[in-house]
Amino acid sequence: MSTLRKKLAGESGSAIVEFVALAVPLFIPIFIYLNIFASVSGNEAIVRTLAREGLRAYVASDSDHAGREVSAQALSVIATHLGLTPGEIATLSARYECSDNPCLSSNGRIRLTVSYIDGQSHRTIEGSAQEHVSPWM
Amino acid sequence: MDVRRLSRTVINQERGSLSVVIIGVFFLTVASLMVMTDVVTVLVAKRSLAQATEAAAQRGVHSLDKSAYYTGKGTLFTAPLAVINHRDHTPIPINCSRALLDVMLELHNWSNDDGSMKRHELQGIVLSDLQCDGTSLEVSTYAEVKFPFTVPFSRMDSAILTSTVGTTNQVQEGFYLFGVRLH
Repeated sequence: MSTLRKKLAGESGSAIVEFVALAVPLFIPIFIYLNIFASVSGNEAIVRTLAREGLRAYVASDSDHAGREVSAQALSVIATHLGLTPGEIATLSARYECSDNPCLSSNGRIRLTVSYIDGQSHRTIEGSAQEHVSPWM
Repeated sequence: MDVRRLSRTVINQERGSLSVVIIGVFFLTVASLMVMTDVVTVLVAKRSLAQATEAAAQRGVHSLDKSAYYTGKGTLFTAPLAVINHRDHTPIPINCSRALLDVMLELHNWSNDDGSMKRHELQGIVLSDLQCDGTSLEVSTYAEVKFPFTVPFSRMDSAILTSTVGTTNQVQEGFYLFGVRLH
């Protein structure tokens, strides 16, 4: 009992206790913030790239039907290359808003909104892009 | 004298010295995190601005100068001859004044978007320069980006981003009959 009291009264190892007691509560929230922020920024960049490239594939295609096909394929391929997991790719959805019908009409405007659910945070990530179709297609 | 001696004793003691270091490092880390957050925000906003500028340039470059395009003669003989000789297509002329209007309309469209098309940190997108030589277009824009945190130890809370995009038209090779591409 007296040995334990002596050990507790001694100062050896107090620096470690001080470090753990002070540094851990201070720095853990920082690491959590860093992790969430990196994830949000990365997802934001990915969804913007997807929307932009998916729309380019659509607008540059020959017909409306081919455009949808090519755009969907482009989204899938790019998502894989950008490192989305199969689970995230399964939640990938694309919404087309067009000024004309069919979408790929000359001088029309197409807006593509891409969204997916992030596997880690389960947040829905959404990004859009808009482009005008050539009047001379 | 006693106070001086006491304060010297307290300063010379090593007890609690680690706390000062940890708290100092913590504040430094928080400050650098704030700077890092601002930098990443700028990077994402820059991408958003480039995207808007690209869309504007794409729209502008589609403004065909019909009077310049439909000059010269294209006959039953000149078209096959051009194919046989692999003659390059003449560049597609752009109606520069119309292109300027289209670019401004597109940028206005992007600037006023409240959805997920443009980053919310980006303020209005402004057209700073438009160079048009009749066959190609160069669009320069700038926008102010608001930082989520004021940069520590300064009063800086925003930055100006610029973006420049150049584009031109290219003829899509193929055999068309009444506007329908057969090959």
